[in-house]
Amino acid sequence: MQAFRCRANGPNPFQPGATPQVPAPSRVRAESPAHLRRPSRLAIAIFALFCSTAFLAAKPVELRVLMEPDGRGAWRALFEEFHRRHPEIRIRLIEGPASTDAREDLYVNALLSGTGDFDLVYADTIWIPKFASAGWLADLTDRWPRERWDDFVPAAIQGGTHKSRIYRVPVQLNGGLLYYRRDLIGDDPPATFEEFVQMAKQHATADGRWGFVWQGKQYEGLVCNFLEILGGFGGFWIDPETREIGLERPEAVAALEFLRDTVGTISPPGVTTYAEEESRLLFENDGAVFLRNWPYVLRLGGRDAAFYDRVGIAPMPSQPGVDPVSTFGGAGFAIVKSTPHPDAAWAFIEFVTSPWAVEFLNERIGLQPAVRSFYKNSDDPVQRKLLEVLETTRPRPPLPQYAQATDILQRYVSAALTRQLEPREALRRASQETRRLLE
Amino acid sequence: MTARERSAWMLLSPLIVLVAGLAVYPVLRTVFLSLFTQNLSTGLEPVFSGFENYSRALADRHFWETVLRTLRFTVLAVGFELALGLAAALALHHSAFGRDLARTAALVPWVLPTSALALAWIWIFNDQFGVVNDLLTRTGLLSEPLAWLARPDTAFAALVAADVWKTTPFMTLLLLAGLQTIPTDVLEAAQIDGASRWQRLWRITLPLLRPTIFVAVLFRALQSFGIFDLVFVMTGGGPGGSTETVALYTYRNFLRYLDFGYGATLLVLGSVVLAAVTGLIWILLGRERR
Repeated sequence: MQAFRCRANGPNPFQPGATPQVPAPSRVRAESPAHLRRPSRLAIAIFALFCSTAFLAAKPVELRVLMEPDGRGAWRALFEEFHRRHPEIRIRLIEGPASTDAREDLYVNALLSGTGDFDLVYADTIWIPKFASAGWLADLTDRWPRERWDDFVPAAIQGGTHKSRIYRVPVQLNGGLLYYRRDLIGDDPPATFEEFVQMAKQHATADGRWGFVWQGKQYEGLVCNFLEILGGFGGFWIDPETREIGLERPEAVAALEFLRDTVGTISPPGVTTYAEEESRLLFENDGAVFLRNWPYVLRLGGRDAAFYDRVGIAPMPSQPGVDPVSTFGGAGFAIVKSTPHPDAAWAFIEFVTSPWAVEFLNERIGLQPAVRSFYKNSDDPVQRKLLEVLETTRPRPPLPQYAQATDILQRYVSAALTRQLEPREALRRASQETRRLLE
Repeated sequence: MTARERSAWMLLSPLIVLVAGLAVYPVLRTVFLSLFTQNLSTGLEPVFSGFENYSRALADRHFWETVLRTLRFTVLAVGFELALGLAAALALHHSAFGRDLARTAALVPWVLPTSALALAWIWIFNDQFGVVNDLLTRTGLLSEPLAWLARPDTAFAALVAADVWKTTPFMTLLLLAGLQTIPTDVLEAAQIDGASRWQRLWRITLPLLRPTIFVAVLFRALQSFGIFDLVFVMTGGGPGGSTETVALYTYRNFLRYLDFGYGATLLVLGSVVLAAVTGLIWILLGRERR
């Protein structure tokens, strides 16, 4: 991964003039009406004339992509803007289910049968090794010089890399955050697990305010939560290089014991059934001092500004001397290898990562961009704080058999959390099964 | 072949093609695929491996655990549905008042999409906000709220309850239709001969209803053994894999692990188990008794 280490003072490819001059939208809240600035009619006429000579009578190329539901129409508006700038290309959005796993199934079905249903893949980070090793994605590494790739947060690039080749351009950055109640604990969030537990106990109440809510249901979110605690104890799951499994080490046992011991003490007993929304709603109803969740909570928090004014964000706690860890998530665009229009697809990817599009998506739907320059240029303290936390994100191990590995871990961590197995025994079995898988 | 037979075959041929294409071909293809290794390690190319997948599946303790669990789920869910459905069908059959309205209302749970209902059930069983805990603690049956989906036994019970609630109307409707075909003169004759209500139910109504019960139980058992959506949404197979069903495990192997040969093998083995279940139901309910 050394090749993609970030360069703090590298040339900024987002110089003014590098892309068409559309003024950046002003920073307003997402509720404000859409206001795509239109180029003048003359410009359109000239542009149309220019294009029509090249693409006379040619129907626009249609690129199809499956994405999450486009509730506020922001992606559609973005595709329209792209079409205005590239009249020869049209993006057709197919709105899929909101669940990432369900969308993955749809992509797998389409790519397997080779029906050419999709030209672009809006891909979650954990799909890439599987899709790339199945031979479904185009190698994008040489499309950009290295400096251009360096402008992205390193974990976001790693999350799109398989065997040192890049298959996905990140457009969204996601990572686990610790939300805390500033009105209860002040502006000094806990750094170590010890402080964390102490504060959680201190500010919990007998009548329904718990210390800490997180995602303990048996699903991918559980692995994300566990990896943050595991990393905070200095442990690891699978080393992607050596394929060593770290689940039987003392750090892993300590991490799982810690997490299990929160259940019923500082966390509600039902936390082992919660996904994101259950934990968020409990937190918002004064049900917890701390919440572990993704950045989307902040975006939704706009609805209840009075509450979120009293909420701060911080990295997850860790053991003294160990860096905090946030599990990396986030989506990006990949190009289907068999598409007849790879260059049109690439033109779209260049557009969607341009400063204008990045600003637009952040403003309209609160998408956290993966380009670092966005945060550097931002004067919003929350954004700066977010970058600080999201820089600590660590990707999940990029394995083609990731789905099997995560299912094993989910099953045994869940069994330990619900006290069906002792943590040491659960991790021993998980480790054994994972070793068999990777052999 | 006579001209008459020829034209009969010709008229039947579209249906034969349809059935062959939709039912026979996929089954044969699955059996065929189960003899190959086709996964990421073979670059998704099928490589013939004989019965290797089968020996792997027979040794797959996790798979057989899901089979046993799914059988237990099927017996419990269908058992409760039959008991409740029969009671509801008898009540609807005998009450003239509001029968149509009740019949329509009873169908509502069955019509709603399972995955949406499963999301509602998650909240119903929630430990902090859930209505189940609220009712039970208010009435004093529970001293403190219980995290229903966080324990293997209560999570399993919650799944059975959700399934029973949703599919009892289907059972009721089938049984009600069966009840209405039972001639009333037989029952009247028994009444004149002095048979009590219970005797009429056990000696006349139920034996005459047996073919309907057979079909209803068979339908529900087949559906219930393939339960996927409810479990997928409500527990995801958790906690600790304690509610994972055959369909969920097979889906994981197919679509998530891209292990097609093995997934096909699990499908074939699951079908064999299901065939045995069907045979058992036939022996218990379907066979004509002398």
